[in-house]
Amino acid sequence: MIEVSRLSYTYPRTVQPVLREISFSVPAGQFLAIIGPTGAGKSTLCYSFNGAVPRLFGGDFQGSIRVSGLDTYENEIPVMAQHVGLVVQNARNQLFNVTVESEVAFGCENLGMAPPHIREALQEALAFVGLEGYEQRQPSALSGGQQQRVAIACVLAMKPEVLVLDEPTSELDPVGSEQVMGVIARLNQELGKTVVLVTHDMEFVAQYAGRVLVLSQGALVSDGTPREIFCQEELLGRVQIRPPQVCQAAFALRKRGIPIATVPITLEEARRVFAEELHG
Amino acid sequence: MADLQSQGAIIQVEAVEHTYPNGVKALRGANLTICPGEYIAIVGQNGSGKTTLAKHLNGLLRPTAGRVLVEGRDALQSHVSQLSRVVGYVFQNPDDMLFCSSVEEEVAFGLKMVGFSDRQIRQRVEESLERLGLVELREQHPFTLSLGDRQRAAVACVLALAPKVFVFDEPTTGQDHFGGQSIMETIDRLHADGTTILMITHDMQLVAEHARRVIVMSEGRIALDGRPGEAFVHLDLLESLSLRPPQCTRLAQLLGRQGEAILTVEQFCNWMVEKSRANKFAATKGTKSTCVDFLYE
Repeated sequence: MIEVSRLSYTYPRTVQPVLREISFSVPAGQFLAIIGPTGAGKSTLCYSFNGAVPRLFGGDFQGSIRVSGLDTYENEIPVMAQHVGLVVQNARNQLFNVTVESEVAFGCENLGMAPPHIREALQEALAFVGLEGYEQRQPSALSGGQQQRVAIACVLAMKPEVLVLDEPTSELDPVGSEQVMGVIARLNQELGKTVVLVTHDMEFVAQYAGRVLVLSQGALVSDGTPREIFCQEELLGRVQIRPPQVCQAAFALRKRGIPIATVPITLEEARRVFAEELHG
Repeated sequence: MADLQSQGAIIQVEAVEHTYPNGVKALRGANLTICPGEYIAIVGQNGSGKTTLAKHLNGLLRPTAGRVLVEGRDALQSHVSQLSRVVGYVFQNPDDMLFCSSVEEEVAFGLKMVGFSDRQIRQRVEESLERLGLVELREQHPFTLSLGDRQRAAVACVLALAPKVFVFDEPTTGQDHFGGQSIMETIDRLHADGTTILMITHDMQLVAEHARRVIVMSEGRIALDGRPGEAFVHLDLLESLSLRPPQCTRLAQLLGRQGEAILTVEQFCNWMVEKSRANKFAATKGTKSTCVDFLYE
């Protein structure tokens, strides 16, 4: 579904590349998490999936990205937008219409969809994110979690195969995060969308992601399942990522001579693994 | 008034209610006593009244009913500029506070407003920059700094007024682990120097690892108030407010932890080591361990 090949990118008027020789491919229906410290290039990578990097930002772009077989460098953003939906960190920056309805319809209208199709897509998208009945509400008056779900509905209505979400919950309160993360998990599980999620929420990654990419200083430093990634204590320390606390506990206990057989990555697993240790 | 001070309170919130002009009732009777040197976290959903409560402490908001006493004096009797020398407020977004063209000017601004002499201003600016490691950045325009440095600049502005109480509104939101850590080091240092800390946060790990007291707000009232070790025992109540204590706290409870909640990974490991030894000892004695039996039913 996504093919990234030897991608390097440098913003205009800067010297240091923010992405360096990145290559990976994502099969359809995969839930991919991208993690890494601030400044690793995670957001830049997100913006390159629909061609905004380099089309809107300029700069020096090397290598290639294909999404649904379309080269992001050769196809304009409106073309790419039908295949890749992008949701950014702060939903407020993305919403500007006076009603939720006009907001969600906006992208579809710009794609030239017929009004009856737009109405249908809009209803479906709002129902999916749990905001039926909010059509006439003003986006700016909604809670952060609701705004972020409107932003997801906006891209969902355009029926892309891939959804890219750049730290969608980092500015939300716990209730809002839970709502949004729930919607993201269902995008993948129920609709079979290919999901690319940038987040600092490692517990969520452990629970839902099928695969994790670790970025550091613009380079892809590791690529594997959550289990493979979260077991690499040394690597995580080096790139300043704290794995879920259950992994941290397993590492620390091993150092203290308690032979934890497998490093658990979720709470449920940890309950089993640690209970065995206590029992034995 | 003398009575209160003899009890040692620096801030007393008494049956405070607040209704915003649009009719939203944000506080419905909050009672709270804060003593010097405390390190308090306020948690709760958006709309639970955290920020409204905090803004009463330095007079940014006035109670609709009830009263707030700061150093024994009714906050209504004091001007915001006087209160700001007792209670300093660091906003969630440093960019809401910064507007001068250099870090140095920024730090001096509040001091000028309160009416310090030039000499005092110079001295206090110097001290604040020093304590927050901003001396080398003093000439820089605040907006050319990284988010972490801007945040420290915002803290420096408040620190220059030498308030006894610091209120931090979501100090680590939008930061990665490393950025959050460095802000927390700053806050911990202020606390170690004797400042009273009140921080509003959603991050329960932050609460567990730093605060000595946690106040859980719900619908304009205080739902829980105690040490994190006491408060985090109430997982069901917290869950109903969408507040989830750290993973190690929850794991320990699933494994049969009784009493005081586990707050950090280190505490969890200590408990595990102890438990595992006790169980092994019990096994050699032929007695049955009770701690994890329920998991095997």
